[in-house]
Amino acid sequence: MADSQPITLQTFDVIPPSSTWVGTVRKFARTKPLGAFSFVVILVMVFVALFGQWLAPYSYDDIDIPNRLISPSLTYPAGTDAQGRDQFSRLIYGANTSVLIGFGTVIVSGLIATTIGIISGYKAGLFDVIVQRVVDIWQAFPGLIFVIFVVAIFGASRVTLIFTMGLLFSAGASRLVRGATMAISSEAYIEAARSLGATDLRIWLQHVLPNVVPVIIISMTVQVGGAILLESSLSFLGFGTPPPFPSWGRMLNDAQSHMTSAPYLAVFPGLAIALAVYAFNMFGDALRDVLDPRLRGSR
Amino acid sequence: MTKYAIRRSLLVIPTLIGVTMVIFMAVRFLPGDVIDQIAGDFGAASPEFRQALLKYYSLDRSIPQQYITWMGDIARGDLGTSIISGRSVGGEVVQRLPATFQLGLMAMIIGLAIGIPVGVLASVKQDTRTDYVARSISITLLAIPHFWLALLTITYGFILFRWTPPIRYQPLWVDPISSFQTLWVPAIILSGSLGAIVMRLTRSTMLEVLRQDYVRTARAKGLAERLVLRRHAARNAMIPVVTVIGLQVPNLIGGTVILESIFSIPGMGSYLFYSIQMRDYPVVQGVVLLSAFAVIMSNLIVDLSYSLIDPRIRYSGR
Amino acid sequence: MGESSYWTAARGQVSRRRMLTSMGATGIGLAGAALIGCGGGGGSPQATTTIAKSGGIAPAPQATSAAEKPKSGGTFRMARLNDPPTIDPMGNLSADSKSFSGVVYSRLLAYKAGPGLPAINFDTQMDAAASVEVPDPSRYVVKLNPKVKFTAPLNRAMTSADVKYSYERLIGKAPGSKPGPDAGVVEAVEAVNTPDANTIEFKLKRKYGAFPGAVLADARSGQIVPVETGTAFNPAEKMIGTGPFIFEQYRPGALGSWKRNPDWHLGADKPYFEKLEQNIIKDQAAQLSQFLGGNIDVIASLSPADIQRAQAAIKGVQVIENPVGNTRYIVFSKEDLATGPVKDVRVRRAISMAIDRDQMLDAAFDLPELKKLGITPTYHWDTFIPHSHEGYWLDPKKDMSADNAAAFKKNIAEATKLLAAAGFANGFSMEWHWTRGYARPYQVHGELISQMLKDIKIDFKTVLDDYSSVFIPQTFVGKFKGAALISYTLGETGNFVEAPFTPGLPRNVSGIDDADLNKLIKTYSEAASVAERQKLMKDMQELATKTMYYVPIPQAPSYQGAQPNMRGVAEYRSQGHAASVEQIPWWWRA
Repeated sequence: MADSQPITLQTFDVIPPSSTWVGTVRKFARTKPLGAFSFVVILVMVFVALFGQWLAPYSYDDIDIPNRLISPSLTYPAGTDAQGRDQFSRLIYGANTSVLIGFGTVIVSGLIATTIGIISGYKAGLFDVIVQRVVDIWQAFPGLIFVIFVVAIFGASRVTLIFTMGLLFSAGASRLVRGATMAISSEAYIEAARSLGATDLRIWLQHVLPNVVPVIIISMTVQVGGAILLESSLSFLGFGTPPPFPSWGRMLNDAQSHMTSAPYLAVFPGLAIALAVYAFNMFGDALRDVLDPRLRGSR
Repeated sequence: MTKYAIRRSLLVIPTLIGVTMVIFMAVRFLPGDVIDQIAGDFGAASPEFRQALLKYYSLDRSIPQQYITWMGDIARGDLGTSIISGRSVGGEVVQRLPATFQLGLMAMIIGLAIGIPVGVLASVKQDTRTDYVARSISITLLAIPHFWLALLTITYGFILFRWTPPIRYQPLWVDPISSFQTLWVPAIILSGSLGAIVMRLTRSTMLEVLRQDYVRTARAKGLAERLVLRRHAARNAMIPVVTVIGLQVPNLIGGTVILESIFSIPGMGSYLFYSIQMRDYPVVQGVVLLSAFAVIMSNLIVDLSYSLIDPRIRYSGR
Repeated sequence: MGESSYWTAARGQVSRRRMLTSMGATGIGLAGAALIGCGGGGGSPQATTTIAKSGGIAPAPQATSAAEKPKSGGTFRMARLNDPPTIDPMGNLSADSKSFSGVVYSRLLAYKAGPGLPAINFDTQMDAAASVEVPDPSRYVVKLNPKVKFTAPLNRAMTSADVKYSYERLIGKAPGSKPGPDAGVVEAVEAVNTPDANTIEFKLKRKYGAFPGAVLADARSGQIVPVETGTAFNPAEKMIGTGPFIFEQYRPGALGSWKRNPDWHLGADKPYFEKLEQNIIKDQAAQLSQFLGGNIDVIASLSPADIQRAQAAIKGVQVIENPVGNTRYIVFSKEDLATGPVKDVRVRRAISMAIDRDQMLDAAFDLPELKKLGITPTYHWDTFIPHSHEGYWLDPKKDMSADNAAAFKKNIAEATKLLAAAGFANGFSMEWHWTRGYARPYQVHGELISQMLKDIKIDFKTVLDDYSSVFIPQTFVGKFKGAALISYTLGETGNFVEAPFTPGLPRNVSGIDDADLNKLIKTYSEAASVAERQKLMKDMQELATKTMYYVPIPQAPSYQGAQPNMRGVAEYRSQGHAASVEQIPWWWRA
């Protein structure tokens, strides 16, 4: 996310060309304080996810039954669960699950959506009609049910979840990309390129893609939040990432039987999920305000 | 426009046929089958027994044959009979649909009632404190997992207020008060994320509209700000409304399982979920088909109404 | 009540988020018991002796032990976590189905329940039968109680034809009926003859002492439907029987309701309740909320935190302990037992010794929290039978021979030595199969076992099986690699060793064929006296510990709650599929 930001900003000339990378960030922070805050939250989350094993005081599966169900304290900042595992460490490792699944899902979704959206939007005609009916069928399946189907067939693993959820999310995103592609395809310079004999592939990559990138980025950012939420629902239902590696949704599930006597077990993972989803959505919104071509010049 | 409407409507048919094929195959791709769920490990341990049961339910015939039989039943309006319970799928759907429909409608009304005004406000006051607060609240609602909120509500609802929902759902026409008592909390929980989506859609639509030349002209003509807003906001608010209806249908069928179970709502979500677990082919096929039908129809309505609502959207040639 | 006491057996197998993680899980989990009829033997010796001695008549229990006089009337409101897959008693082997229909369809015999009787006992008493005679151990002659009548619209007495029809429907031989999933329970029956309208003769393929308790009283095989089933009414939508309650309606996902059968053959004043409701509330937290709000009368599976809340919210709430009725093992696949590291008994013993059973109980069953509430749970180290089978169970802490007892105690040093001696000083790794389909304790066990084995460098790599599509159809019947965590609810004591250790039986997932064990099992099934059986069962536990083909994991009881004005819940408990008939007629509200 951090890398793509300046590129896309330059594409749209939202920021005066003279401004530097740092200046861009500074301006973003000033005009979009919530977006900037969310971006910081995301950075922290990614950092924790990457370096969790060095940050966590314990391993995620260190059981210590004599020290079970201890309320949050200095030794155990988020308390211990019914098996005496340090919740704080598990929250840290859980970030890894969420980040991996969140980003993995949107990468898969983004790739599929971009390919389908651009080709379908550019080709138009019968090809587009057929592709759109397939997308219709795809969208007609209830999402959670779709994932449960696939997990039942291929077994629950992070990879299965990433690909399934990516596939699921790509249907909606492909519509957005298609819409943007259709708008661009009628522009004069595309016509010009075509009449100069440029191949379709060349036009897609050189002219269409750069222009739909903002749409993709915005939808991907928001989808990270959606993926994290969906993974937690699935884990809660018992279809998510398999143990022993923790996931926030499963921590919530485990917390249920002690919800009234040890509410902290349910509070921290719940907050973690909420904060993560909030951050991705808020950041996505801020990006939309800055990047969406339709909102260009709105400032 | 009419030509477009007809063409767009006709496309529903191949889509639906595609859906039936996909569902039919998908259910059968699931590992394990309905016989395992009837006879468990006993069936797994005795191949003859399995075979006899497969024959009894005509599951020993080829998949195309089974598909044709199913399509024939569908064409006659018969959704079939559950292999597990022996009860008619159609009858069960009729019993369960009202609860799901009512929950969806209530959630939608609450979501729209909150989302649209907040969205308009946030767009008019873009990048002010009002905008931030309004969006923060609605996105927070979107960010909190439903199941977590539901669990907290059912647990702490009693601890703090001695509140417990009615023991069972009563259809609206049997006992309207009890019916609302069951559904108001899950509807609010469900409306949280819906309201957030509506809010964001309204905000971005409004932001776009407010830049349009005709709005600028209206303002320049000296029309009162409120009048401008009312006229254009009203019309443009319809887009999020119809979009959300389209989004809501699959969510109601597939996404409310946990809410239904926590608040004892005999809805479609738990029916489908249970039937998938049991590999109850006729039920899964029937319910997913109905849900897909609803989604496709609502997409159709959304598409058609876009062109009505927003005259700038043209559908020539495509 | 069907649910809570039913789960005395299955308790702890039922997931907290049962409906969601594993629909029908519980029922099929119990399918573990589906084949117990096969091998014969085992069983409750008392049942046989009572019947033989008194000509089969054991009087139905009267009233409760309390000095209060039972009050009639009222609606008894239960809650259950699952819809029954079907209300047809022969349609599915799920326990939910059996207990739903169990209050409508009588059985010839019922399990004994009442003051002073343990919840886990397979003693029988008369239900639809008036007497059971045993001319020889392979022939059972049952006379029907003439007072047994099918309710409206049939309005007629039960005849031997109904019993024969029910048997045929169970095995899928009745016209239009499908092969019955519970056919295995009656596998020992060769023929059912009806000499006259009032007499039924069960001819068995072999001597089968436990037949009354294991087949006639069991709700899987014993429920008697009228011959009009499927013609006069659709058994998937309606139930017409002879039991204590008359079926009113079933709204899936919401409610099943019944009214009192005024002509029930077991008493004019019973059942005491005017109406019976089974509310389908698929979430434990929601059930608790309804219980605390006074909307349901009893509730199953209370956690310590739940008990604390119930005690705070309801003055005088009754908390009743339900004993463990099942066994839980680490099992090894056939291949691994034949060729893998676990082929060596020292390795299996080391695995058992790496497990801290007390810690396992604490973590999975919240024992410290229970004790804080002043509750003293009854728990022990289960062996190859649950500790609740009193007289049969051998206490590894007290009664077992020293060498075998050592295998139950955590001893990392000794375990490491054993592994080294077997040539696995650096450990090894194998797949570790378990599922989300069962309740929290099972899942805690699944996680803890792989953690504890790390201490002896054995790496159990968790493979989480999908319950419906992998665990039941494959792992549970032995089609897996490595090790698996499996629970068996096998009913009568004898079955607990017979089913998992007899070569060729489906419960013997590891393909165990041990000459010494086989011999003991055979002797046991032929043994006539209780004392002899109890002694043999103890020998068997010693031998099973010595060979350690399965590694037993202990369990602790669960708790059910009842509103303060409920009577009979603590006294009338019963074991078995659909114990409703044994209990609900005798329960009442003060």
